[in-house]
Parts: sequence; C-alpha cells; structure tokens
Amino acid sequence: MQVQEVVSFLKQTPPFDDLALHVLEAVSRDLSVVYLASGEQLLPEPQLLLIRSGLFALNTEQQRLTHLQCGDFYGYQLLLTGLADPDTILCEEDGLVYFLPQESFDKLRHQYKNFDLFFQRLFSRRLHLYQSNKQQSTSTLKVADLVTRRKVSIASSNTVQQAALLMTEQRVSCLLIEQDEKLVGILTDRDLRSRVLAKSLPASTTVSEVMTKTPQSIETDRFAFEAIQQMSQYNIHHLPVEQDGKAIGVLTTTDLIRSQQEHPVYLISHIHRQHQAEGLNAITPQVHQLAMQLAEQQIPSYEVSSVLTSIMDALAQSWLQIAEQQLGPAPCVYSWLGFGSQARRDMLPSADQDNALLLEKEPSGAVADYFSALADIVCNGLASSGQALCDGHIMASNPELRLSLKGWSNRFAKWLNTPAPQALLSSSIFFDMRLIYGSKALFNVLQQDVLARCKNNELFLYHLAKNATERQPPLGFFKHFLLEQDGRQRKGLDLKKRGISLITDLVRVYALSAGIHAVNTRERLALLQQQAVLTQRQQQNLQGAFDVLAHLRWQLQAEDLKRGRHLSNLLDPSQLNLLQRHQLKDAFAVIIDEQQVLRQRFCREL
Amino acid sequence: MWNWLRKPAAVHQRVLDFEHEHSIDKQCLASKASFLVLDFETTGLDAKKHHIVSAGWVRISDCRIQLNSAVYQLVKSPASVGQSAVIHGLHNSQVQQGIELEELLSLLLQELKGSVLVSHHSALELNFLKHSCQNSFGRAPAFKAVDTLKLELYKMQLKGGPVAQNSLSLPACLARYQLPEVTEHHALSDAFGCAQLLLAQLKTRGASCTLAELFQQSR
Repeated sequence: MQVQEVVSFLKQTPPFDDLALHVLEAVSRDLSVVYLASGEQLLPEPQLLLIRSGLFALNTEQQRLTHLQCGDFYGYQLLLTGLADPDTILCEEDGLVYFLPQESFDKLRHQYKNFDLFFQRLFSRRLHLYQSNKQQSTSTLKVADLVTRRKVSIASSNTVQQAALLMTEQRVSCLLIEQDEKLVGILTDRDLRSRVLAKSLPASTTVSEVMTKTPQSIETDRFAFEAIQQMSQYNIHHLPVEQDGKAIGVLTTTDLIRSQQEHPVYLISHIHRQHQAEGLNAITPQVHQLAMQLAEQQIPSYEVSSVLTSIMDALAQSWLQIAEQQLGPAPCVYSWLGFGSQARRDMLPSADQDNALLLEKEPSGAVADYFSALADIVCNGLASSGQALCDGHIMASNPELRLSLKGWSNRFAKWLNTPAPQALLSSSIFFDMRLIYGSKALFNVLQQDVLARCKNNELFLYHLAKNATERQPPLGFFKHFLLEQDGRQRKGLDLKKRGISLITDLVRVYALSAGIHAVNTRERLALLQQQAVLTQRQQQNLQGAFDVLAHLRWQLQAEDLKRGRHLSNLLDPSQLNLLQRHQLKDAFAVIIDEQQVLRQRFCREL
Repeated sequence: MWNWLRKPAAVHQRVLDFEHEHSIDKQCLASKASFLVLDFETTGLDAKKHHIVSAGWVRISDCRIQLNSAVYQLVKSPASVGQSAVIHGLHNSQVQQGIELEELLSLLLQELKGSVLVSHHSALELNFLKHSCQNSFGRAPAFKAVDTLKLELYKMQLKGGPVAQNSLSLPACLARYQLPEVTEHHALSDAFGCAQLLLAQLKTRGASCTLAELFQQSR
C-alpha cells in the first residue's frame, strides 16, 4: 500500500510529475525515508536522493557548490556513471531525504524517456534544455509553413508570349526567371498587362526586357509576419521563397491571407499602412496586448522577442517615412541603425530606444539640420508609440550619434584602440548593430570596417572579455533567497543584469573575435559552432541557458503587463516552481563555467 | 468467522508461537532495531465496547522508513461505525469490504515478531490489541510498545515548564520538528507520520540510545 503523502509529493516534483498515478504509487513503495539532523553528513550510496525537507549544503573539497532543498536531487551522477564524485553533503537544517534504489531508478529510466532525459541533462548540467511533457510549445507560422513548394520558372531569353502560355498552362499569376539555377527576376501577370500590352510591345519581346530584376525574396525559415512586412514595405504581392540560395516557390498575398489568424501579421501591416502620426501614436496598447497574447501561447521567448522586434522595426520605418513626408526627400543617402536588444532582435516590452544615424555626407549645414529634424520626429514619434526615450541618450536625436561613415569609423577606432574599461563598458552596446531602414550598402561598409578592426585585436578583446566576466550570476537559491558568491543573501534576482546580459556579453566577445556579422545571440552561437570557435556542447549549453532566462523574463514582464505594473527584470525566487528552480540553477552553472573558459581564452597575460 | 470457536487450540497456537518467537534485546541500540509503527482507527476509544475499523503500519529498520513494508487494512466491524465515521471518514459499506479481525491479528502477530511496536499514544493500540486477541484467540500476548507521545512528553518535562494542551497531538509534534504534515485519522498516514516523528526523536537522543531507554521513557 502506498502512503498518500509520499505520492502527492512525487506528483508535484519534476520529473516524477509527468508519470501516471499508478506508476508513482509503485515508485513510492520503493522508497525509504531517512531523517538527518543538522551537522550530519550524508554518505554516498548507489541510490537516488530526493530532498523532502530541510536544507543541505553541497560542497567540493574547497568550496560550497550550492544548497539542496525540497525537490532537489543528488546521487544521480553515481547511478548514471558508476563514478562517485568528491562532493560531500552536509545537513544544515534537520530534514527528510527519500532514497530510491538503483534498480527502480534504472527501470524508470528505461520505461520513461522523459524521466531519463531529465537526469541525463541534470547530470550534464543541461537541464535547461529539458521540457516537461505538458508544456508543448506552439510556434508562430514560418514561411515554410505557408509556401506551396511548386516552382514555375522560365529562362529570361524566352519571349513574353511563351511566358504567358506557360502561366496559362500552369495556372499561376507569376513566373520565376532563373539563370544557372539562380533567381534573376520575376514576371507577374500584372507586368504583362502594364509593361507589355499597355506599352504596345510585341509578343516577341524577351522576358529579360520586362521582368523585375533582382527581386525581393525571403528564406523559408523566416516568419510569416516578416514576409508580410517585406511585401507591404515594397508594395509587392508575390515574394519568391528561397532555401539554401535556391528558389523553391512563391509566396503570394493570398497565401498570407489564409494565415490571417496570426496577430503579428495584422499589426505589422497595420503599422505599415499608417501614413499619419495619429495612427502610430495609439499603437502601444495593441503592441502590449499582442505581447501578452504571445507570452501566454507558450511560444518560445526568442520567437516572441523576434515578433516584438519586427513590430518595433516597422514602427521606426513608418515614423521615418512620415518624417520624410514632412521634411521632403533626404539630402543624401542614410542608414537608420538599431543597437543593443533591437539589433539582437531580443526586445522586450520594457526595451527603450537605442538608435543612431549613419550618413553618406558629413553632417554640416543643411544636411545637419535635415537629419536633426528627422531624428527628432522619429525619436519623439517612437516615444509616443510606446518605446521610451533612452536614459543614456543613445538616440539619433543626440548629435553625437549622427555621423558620417568616416565619423563612425573614427568613433569605433577610438573605442577599439584605447579600450579604457569604463569607455568600453558604455560602448559595448554599439557593437551589436543592425540596419533598420535606409541604405544597406552604406551600413555594410561600416559593419565590415568595424569587424575588420575587431578581429585579432587582442588588447581590445582582452578588455571586452574582462568586462564580460566582471559580473557573475548568483550561485543558486536558498529558501526564498539568492545565494551569492560572498555568502550574502538577496531577495530579488535581476534576470537581465545577472543572467541574460552575461550571456550576450560573452557571446559578443566570441562573435567579434571571429568577425561574425550576425548580432542575434542565437544566430551568433550557431555560427560560432559552425566555425568551430565553440563546441557543440558549449553552443547548446549557452543557448539553453539563454532560453531559460529569456523565457522567465518574458513571463515576468507579461505578468507585469497584465497587472498594469511597472515592467521589471526582478524575479522573486519564491515564485519559482521546482523545475524552474532546477533550470535556473543550471543556467547559472553554465554561465559560471563559460565565463571561466572565456577568461582563459582571451584574458591570459598579454 | 466463527472458526476459532471450533478450533480454539489451533488458533491459540498462534499466540503461543508469537510468544515463543518474539524476543527483543532491550540493550539493542535503537539505531539498529527494527520497529513496526502501527495505527488503528476505531469506532470509539473503549476497547471493550468499540471495534477496529482500519489498521496501517510501516516498518523502520536501520533508521529508515521502508515504504515497501507499508500496509493498510480495512477491518470488518461487527457493529456500525456510527458517529466515528466523522473522524476517520470510513463508512459501513467500505468497512464491510475489509478483512476479518482474526486475519488482521494473525497478520500483525506475524509482522511483529522480532520488531518493536511503536504508536503515538500507544495505550489505544495496546488495549485494542489485547482485547481483540483475547476475544479472537482466547489469549493475548504481553505487548509492549514505544510511545512517541510519551517520548515527546518526556523531553518536554526534562526541559521543564508547563506542557500546553494539544502540544502532544501528532500534527503538533510533526510541526515542532518541521516534518511534513500528514492526513489525520487515516491509519497508514498516521503511522507514517508517527514513523517520521520517531526518526526525529531518535536523532535527539543520540547514537547510544538503547531500546531499554525508549521503553523507559514510554511509560
């Protein structure tokens, strides 16, 4: 017969919580229960230990590793590997420990994949990649989900009549024009009407004369809302879809209408349709509503952040268009740059503005006046749309941040060549930059220039790595407190300062050292692994830790939004469930390990 | 049910066997002893008038509660559970699905061999055991028990000061040691709670504590 109290406890303890009740009842009968008094030491034996109550300190020879409390496990390392580790467990507050014998543990691992996975990951400190069965995440639609993989193409040397015939035969409204398997153009039935018939061109006209050359295209792994954004921005109805650099089909507005339940799609196209300030001013509640909805749908946080970033990008683009309407055409080519979380595409509802202008010409005279006015309209406009002004004045409205290519290049050179730690700390945000609007060519030149300066610049990387490892995550939890390196206790955990930023800082050092263009942390990690700068295990660990922290922060802010509270990064540890506590502990352990690796790689004596 | 009337000698033998085989070395260290922690739910407090409706027990050996030894039994009661249902939540229909009292006693005598009986407020369990054995087998062994309530009282009196009312109930004792609470008046849950309490009490008595001391303090 099972003891009900024991079964109920298992029922709320991951990974047991995934098991059926009759299985838990059987498991409970295999347990034995031990009481430990403070000061007693737990001796290793081949059993799984589950803390039921009390407080236990896990120590290695030299130092305190962490505290174990209700719901924590120990002994799985011995069970999984047969090797005992040198850790000792000391009871600090009297408590009960449940022991599960090896046979039962092995049996459960055999029968339940998720149970096995939980302990494998706990052991390899990759618990953060564990997902309980119950939390199945739905994902937002991707281009790949919408596009019909049917490519109808023709060579550019064919005549428009042949093209029209093919379109009729295949019942399509547009043709892809390919040369050597590369997409070189697109021809729609509208083009045949307006560019051939209306202009009285003969049927023998070649396709190459009337097609749209080097058309916009999108990769299959992008989001549907990004396709919408691109189509509304360029006012097109057909968007070629590519996979691995080859066209595989066309996404049409009709395809997208079919997926219209998706809210980001609505909102972004709504933003792009606004040509008046009034329409954009009132957008904040809708953005927040959407953020809450996405957070509640259990969509992975990086996808939610990506959606939010796209909305913020769309807002910036719309405000820039409004500014151009008001001020007339720009006196020279320019690029609107986003920094920090907007550049990394991991924005949260609380994100403030971090933007700047890159100008083709030196900002003096009329050019200076124009862009000063433009920046004011856009920055104030964004503020009225809910994106707060930046306290640190990292905004295009700051004249220091409206520079020519040469100006920016010199600015970066100064940071790079005399990297005073303090200056670096405040400038590190600039090393994550992305083009939001304007000239891609101009932006590319600057990015190339900066990356070339960073690569192999050992002194700069030394300081950057040093800065990145200055702050550390807390060691773990202890009742409702955080356990700090110096033994202090603290009530709240700043998920940004003590978690997420530590990972983005760390990954940035590697990315800049390897000359990687990507700024999104996940993309950077993937590229770093591809280029063998990081091992696959490092990449998975860092990404998993990042995802756990980012997810918690999203939940936190979604809850704040729902309750109309001030948006905060501060997490109260007592609000965590057992799985989240395991996962957070794990994420901290990954950061501590990786900070050490980073220091070893970049901070050796020069 | 009335088998024992026909074969009194054979049934009587069980008690004799138990008395013959059950021996406990009182100088044994408590940490090495085997305990059987027992709880009865009954239709009332008077063993002469009332009946056992359920029994739960769990074994402690080597200072570990062995959950594979946990047993819960409903017992057929010759009388209605009456108002006691309010306390233990068992109704006549459930109780009637239980085993015969005689079968329970045989089981218990078997389990108890070589083990120390433990209860919280053991007078109740002892009285019911004695009377049931007397009625069923015509003879009752001399049962002895460690009483977690008395152990607690002993410690409190050592410290001096008044003993507050209710401070010796099982939930109050569990709370004092910050042990997880149990469902009250479920025979197995209470036995499990009592077993946890005994583990905690053994710790406060140190490694050299013998069974003799526990029996002494249970008086």
